Amino acid sequence: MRFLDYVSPAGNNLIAEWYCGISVESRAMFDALLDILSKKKEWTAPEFKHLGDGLGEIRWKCDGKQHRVIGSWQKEPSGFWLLMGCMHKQNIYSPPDAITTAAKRLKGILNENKGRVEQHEIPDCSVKG
Amino acid sequence: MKTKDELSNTKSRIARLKDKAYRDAFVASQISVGLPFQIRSLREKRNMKQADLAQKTGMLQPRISAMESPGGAKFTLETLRRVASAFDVALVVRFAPFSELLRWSERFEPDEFAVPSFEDDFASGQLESDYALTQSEAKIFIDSNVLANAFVYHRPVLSLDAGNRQISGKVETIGKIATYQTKIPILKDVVEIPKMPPASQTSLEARITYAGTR
Repeated sequence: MRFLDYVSPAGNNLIAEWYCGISVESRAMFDALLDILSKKKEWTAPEFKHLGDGLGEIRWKCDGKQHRVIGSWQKEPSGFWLLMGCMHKQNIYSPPDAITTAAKRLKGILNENKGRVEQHEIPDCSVKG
Repeated sequence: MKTKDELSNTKSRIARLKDKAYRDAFVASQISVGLPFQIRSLREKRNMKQADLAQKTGMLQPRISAMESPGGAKFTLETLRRVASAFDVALVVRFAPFSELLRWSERFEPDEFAVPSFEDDFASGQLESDYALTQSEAKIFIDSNVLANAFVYHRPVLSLDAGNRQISGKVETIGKIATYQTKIPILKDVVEIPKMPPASQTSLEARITYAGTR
């Protein structure tokens, strides 16, 4: 299983941007989680939850916060597409429209030729700009 | 063999490890993310429910649930000791180089991860075979301060040249192999070794077990 990052129509890797905006501890946990999920045959709770409409979220807790990355399994290019990074508190996403945004991004790539995905790599957050 | 994607991932991981803050977070992540998968895998391989593990560890089921969630629990050594005891497995806690931790994280297979309990380990013969003498080779244990550490911590593998009354061999240690050669008087073909000599012994006295053919 490989992971791919959402890249906006403007050419920005929004997953890398989200990643560099969270704490280094959360980043390392996300990296470790992807390492493990890439080798697991079946993704289950508590680290994964199906959201419906072909979406699912990777879940972990760090710094007392519930982190989520919403994505979707797709065949072309094959892998789990990472669409939207967000947080979750008391059943509310932050940002609140995280699932809708993820769905729009997916639809944009699949149906409207807006945006794309690229191979996920651990971003270098020391590079500004 | 690693795939191109895996190689690329390793490369970027190594690059990130040059940053001290990421290095520290990487160590922490192997505990907060890696351990939940290990615990869950060990529990499921034993067909245990969280409630069963809770009962065996003397903890509450929600605590087990939290321990199986990435970042869900803070682990103390006492907690881990209790979990290890419940699964009847050993627990290894030691400091290590980053290269070793990276290798471990890359080789960790959550679906395949299994550690036999002491009973299964013993029944499989693994515990004893690691230290048993084989019929096809001669092994010599020497009491000496030079080799004492090797006896205590590592398994020496020696061969016996009875004709020349020489022994040579190697001591496999982590990361290197020490070789040595010495002449000793061979007194008997077979000498039982009651137990390992204490590290403080300094006499160069051979205790020989020779089970091969001459």
